[in-house]
Amino acid sequence: MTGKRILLVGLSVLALLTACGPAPTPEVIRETVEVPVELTVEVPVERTVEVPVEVEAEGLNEVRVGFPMPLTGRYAVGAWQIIEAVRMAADVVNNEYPNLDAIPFGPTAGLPNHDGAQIRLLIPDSQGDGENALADSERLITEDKVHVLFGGYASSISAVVSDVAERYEIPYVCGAASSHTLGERGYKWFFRQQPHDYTFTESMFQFLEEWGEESGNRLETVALFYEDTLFGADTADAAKMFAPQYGYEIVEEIAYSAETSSLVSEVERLKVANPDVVIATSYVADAILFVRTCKELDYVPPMILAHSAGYTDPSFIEGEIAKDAEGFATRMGMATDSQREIVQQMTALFRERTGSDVTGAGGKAFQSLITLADALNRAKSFAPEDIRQALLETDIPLEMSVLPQGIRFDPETGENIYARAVIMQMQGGKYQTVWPFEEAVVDVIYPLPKWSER
Amino acid sequence: MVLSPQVAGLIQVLISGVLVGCIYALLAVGVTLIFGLMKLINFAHGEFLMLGMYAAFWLSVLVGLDPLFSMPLIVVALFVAGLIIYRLIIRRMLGQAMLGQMMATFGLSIFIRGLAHYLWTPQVRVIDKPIVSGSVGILGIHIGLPQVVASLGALVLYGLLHLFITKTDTGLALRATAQDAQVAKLMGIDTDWMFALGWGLGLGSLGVGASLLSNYLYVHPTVGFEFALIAFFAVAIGGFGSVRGALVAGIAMGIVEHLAAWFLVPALKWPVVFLMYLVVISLRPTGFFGKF
Repeated sequence: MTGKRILLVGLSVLALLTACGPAPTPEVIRETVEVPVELTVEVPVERTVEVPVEVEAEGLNEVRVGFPMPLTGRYAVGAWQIIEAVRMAADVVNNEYPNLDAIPFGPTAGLPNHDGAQIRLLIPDSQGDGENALADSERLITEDKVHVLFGGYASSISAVVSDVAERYEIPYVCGAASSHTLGERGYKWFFRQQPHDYTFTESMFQFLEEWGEESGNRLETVALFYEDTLFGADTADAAKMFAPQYGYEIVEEIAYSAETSSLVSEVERLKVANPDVVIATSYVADAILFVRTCKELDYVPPMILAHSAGYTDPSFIEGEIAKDAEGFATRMGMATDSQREIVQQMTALFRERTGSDVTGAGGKAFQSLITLADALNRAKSFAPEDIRQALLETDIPLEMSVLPQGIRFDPETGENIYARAVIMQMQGGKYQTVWPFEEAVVDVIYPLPKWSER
Repeated sequence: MVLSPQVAGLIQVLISGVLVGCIYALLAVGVTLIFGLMKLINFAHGEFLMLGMYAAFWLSVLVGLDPLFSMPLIVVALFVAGLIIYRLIIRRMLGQAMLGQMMATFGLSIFIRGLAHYLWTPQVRVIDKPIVSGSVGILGIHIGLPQVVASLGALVLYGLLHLFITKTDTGLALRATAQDAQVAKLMGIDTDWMFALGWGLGLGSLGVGASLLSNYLYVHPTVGFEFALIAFFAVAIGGFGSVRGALVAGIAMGIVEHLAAWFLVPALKWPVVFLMYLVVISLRPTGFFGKF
């Protein structure tokens, strides 16, 4: 009898906890990584275990770039692309590749304005842990005397590294993290060229506007369908901010738990709201469940725009589910299928070196190092203030960038003022770029075909 | 004739609530069987469901065996796993504090989940082309065939368990052991075997659920977590140790979950289900059919 009462009390507490917070989420490596609530770490923690620092291209005339990354641990799989792309970029800068004539520094060896100075990457293993990243960043600055901090994957780690850079007054070029809060802190030494969560969302509405004008399909109503952690909530907040600015009415807002085993009620509500566009933010399991529930309930909105993540996970884009998701569109950081020569050369080289296709995250990281090399080359010296000044004077045109835009940093936020996303749509079983139009390889499928017509 | 979206939506939500509720009941029956016999909650319940779903997935991918056909294999494998877990872990904990026994199953759950993470990575996997797929539509209401099959499977399992427990000598011995193990032992019942059988049946029933769920859901290392939680609360609402209680409570939870998402906001569906639990135990601490 006592045992049952203990159980009842225990289950009651569990019920309250469960109702208040989500259960553990299956690990999903996504292009945008969740924003941490706390962006500062107070106390430096010394690591007791010495992690070897990977040193590349050692030489006398060099610029040292500290690149703390998760070589092991939960982020290691997703970070692999970024690390390989940055290594490749450093190799392209340091060595002669006469055939890579579209990529800046491709045909030359080293930084021309500094007698061919080499970029030397120092890559300690942060293991995806903020305290490790903090200790690594400080050690890179104080012991290894790096000139620049670089990289990032999870926004939480980038936040820590940028804190250290700000404290030591060393430039930090953020390579992949996408939390919009990183640039809002007004840091003097923080620079990021790729879009963040808010830029991504605004790009969706820009796409709707430009495509609407060109095709004559003016869409008016939007439904937000998002998983209810910080990731989903942030994207929904951004959409609620931009929708009125671009003249769209939000007719339904559905936040759901990513661990749910049924989305029937949620999809039925979408059906009743009947929006022109559904903006979806999901992890992979719920993205799959969403597609299957839509199919089961014979519902398909005229257009679906997704926030990458689950909709670009290998589990989603490989196999039968990709066929069902024909016509689903997503925002991405770069168009890996762009026909521009610079992108073609970069993607071909990556495939040759690794045997894999480069992802958007890898492409962005590659460009980050090229952008840094451009600033280093123009800098009067490798003193931090000179590098920072050169970064502030960066003005890379579209044709010299693998990103779908040029690069110029806002002196207030360190963000790229030209940053925007691309929109890719699942066509023929793979995502293909449909916007910006100058990068597009296929036309937009609109409206999405009904299930009976597939 | 096509119903208005609101009416069709409500009917759709109610039907889906019942179908999902049957699944919850199917997953809860193993919990209530083991609790009824041993007054013990198996916290590794969800992890055995996950193992069953992985078995269905790999048998489909590697051998080409559809989950419907691999079901007997998975049921037998989990039944044997139940016997082994009882012999190796639970039996040694008999007579120990209840918390200690439950912690043993909790530790087992973390071990299995960690092992699954290591072996199969967190990647989400789906069976591409199960035999049972698609849906049928009537008057604008759509019913998924895998869900119908899973719900029917749940009801058949409940029927078979009911017959086994009420109509067979072994079932009678199980009930006697559940009522009072000491007296049952004095009457000549091999209670040790009954406990082992309870574990075998408890996990074996998960094999049915794992196969049927694999027809339309994905599998990853933490897929069992939420289902296990639902199963625990279905047992608490239905009454600890009550098989029919688990059935009624599971269906009730499915309906309340779906109606809450329909009438309120989807983010509140689980808080409302757990509120129902709190209301039920405050009005009737033993649950629908439980006895103290």
